[in-house]
Amino acid sequence: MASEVLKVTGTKGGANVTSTISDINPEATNAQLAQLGTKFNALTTNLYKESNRITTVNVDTEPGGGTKPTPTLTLSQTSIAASQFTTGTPTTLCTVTTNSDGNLYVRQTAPLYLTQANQTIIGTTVTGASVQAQTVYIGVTETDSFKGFEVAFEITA
Amino acid sequence: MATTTTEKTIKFDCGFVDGDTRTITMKNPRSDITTAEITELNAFIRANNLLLGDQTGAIFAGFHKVRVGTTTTRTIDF
Repeated sequence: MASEVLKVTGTKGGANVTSTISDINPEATNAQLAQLGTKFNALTTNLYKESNRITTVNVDTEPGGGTKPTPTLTLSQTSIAASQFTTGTPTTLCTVTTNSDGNLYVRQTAPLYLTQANQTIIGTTVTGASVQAQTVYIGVTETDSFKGFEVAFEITA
Repeated sequence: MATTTTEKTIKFDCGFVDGDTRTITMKNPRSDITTAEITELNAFIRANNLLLGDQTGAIFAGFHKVRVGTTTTRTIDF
């Protein structure tokens, strides 16, 4: 089951000051959470910067031979629709979907084992078969947000 | 050499209808926070059901206590 936190960031003296509000209601709207962030921050002397809604889920990968990695997918997003969306074209390497139980799943359509660390998948063709721990960033085209949509997850094979 | 730092915080002790509690901490609280502001924040969270208990997902009952304090941390070199 996914859990959500709200990270409220302000600045003081040019430095970020971030507080975490845990276990927020997943049914809360982005507008409500933005208001919540600004209201909490208004009680401080920090200059309000942003609020980020973070959903952390355990994702499952397609079953396959050998070691099956179980990456933890951390989303920084405002609103994720319960529908299938693809990441990047023309080479679609991952499909992020929601299952009937409401959890998020990442389905591999191509091996996510890269020969270079921190390889950006969008617009990149995956080559090589070297199994390495990677941090993979997937950009999506969702524009309906007050914060850029970014999906990041770490795979440990 | 040991170093000492101080940090002012405001802590919101939250209660939930199943008896669960949780504390939300913000840094650098204003010195002129009013009761009305706390009351309004409390009401906003309750009216919109924005926080859930982490034990059973219970509904937010309200702030038990709101505390402003200073935390002093001494780092000991070893």
